Amino acid sequence: MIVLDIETTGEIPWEHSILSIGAIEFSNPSNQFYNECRIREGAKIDPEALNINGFSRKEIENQDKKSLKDALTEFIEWTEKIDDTTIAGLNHYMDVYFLEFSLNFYGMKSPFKYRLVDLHTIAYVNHLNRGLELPLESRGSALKSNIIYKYCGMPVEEFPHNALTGAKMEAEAFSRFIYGKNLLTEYKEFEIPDYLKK
Amino acid sequence: MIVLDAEMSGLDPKIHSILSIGAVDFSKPERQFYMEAKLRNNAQIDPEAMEVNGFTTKEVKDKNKPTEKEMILKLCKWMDDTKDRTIGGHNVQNDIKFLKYAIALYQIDYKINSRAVDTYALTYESYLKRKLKFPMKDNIADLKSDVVFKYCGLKQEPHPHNALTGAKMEAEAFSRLIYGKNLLKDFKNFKIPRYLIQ
Repeated sequence: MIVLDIETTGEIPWEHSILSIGAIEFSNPSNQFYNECRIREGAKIDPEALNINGFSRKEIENQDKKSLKDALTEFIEWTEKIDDTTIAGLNHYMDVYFLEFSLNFYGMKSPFKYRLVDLHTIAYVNHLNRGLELPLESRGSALKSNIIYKYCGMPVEEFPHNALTGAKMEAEAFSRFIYGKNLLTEYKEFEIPDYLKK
Repeated sequence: MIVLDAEMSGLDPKIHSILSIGAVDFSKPERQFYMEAKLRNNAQIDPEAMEVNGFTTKEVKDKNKPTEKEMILKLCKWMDDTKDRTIGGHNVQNDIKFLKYAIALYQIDYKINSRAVDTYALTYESYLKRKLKFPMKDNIADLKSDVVFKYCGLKQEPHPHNALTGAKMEAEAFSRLIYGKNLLKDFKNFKIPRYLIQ
């Protein structure tokens, strides 16, 4: 399982561009991937997205940065050495959509499928299982990333967001939910709540 | 949680349309929804999709059937009676993608939350916890609906697919994966595997 997080210039794969990719092999968490790239030619920029990921226009237009095509090629090469490339993350359907669109854009075939292991599902079901009241927003689940991290005894995600930090935090949360165990040394000092310990 | 299944005329919401929707209110499983609709004007038909859902071209072009918009409006009204409208299902993001597209197309004032609950992720988690080997296809865990149903002690989904039967089977699978308990009397005779009983 590959825990994936990406940062983009907006929310629409065919209008906006990937800016960074962070990933961790869950069964071998020292195997990590991080790549940044410049904006795809012709892609739009939503200022709100840059506010979230902290990249400046100057940074993402810097021609010395690698191209999105090169960043994607390196990512695919990294995944090729992994046996189980099922993609995991948090509400990461759009991340996979971005990857698929971007790979197709450069004439590459996406090896990924929409068979996704979603951290939200695991967190939601853990709440149901414990008979807890679910936080709701617009009459749907309000289990956002920082609520899930807090539930797992972890700190809030740093702002602005970084794709590798995001992937690490998601991987750590998966480990706490599934095994009740710490995965990464970065989060060792954050105690695992009793209700997650097996 | 609303456990939902939909049958479509193809895979792309922009050119295909929703032909039927089935749903079960997970907290009150006697509350169920089923409706069929005629093909959206100008929408295309993918023969492979029709083979899966069993509708004939004559049936989906039947002028006496409600429109896709009428079906979506009825679904929204039905969902309004539920406190938590988080959508659940199997690879459910595809159904959500179609629903969101239709809601935007018909300018219906209704918010479908992308934070969903998926039997794929839950089954994957259960396999990891039990240290089972995943069935793999193209390096991705191949946990199709029938694999999930079998894992939960259920029979294969009848062919062709029916959206309400799909929703019921998914709701039953959720109940078995989350609580280790039977939910619907339709599946009472199917023994719950020991490894799911808590």
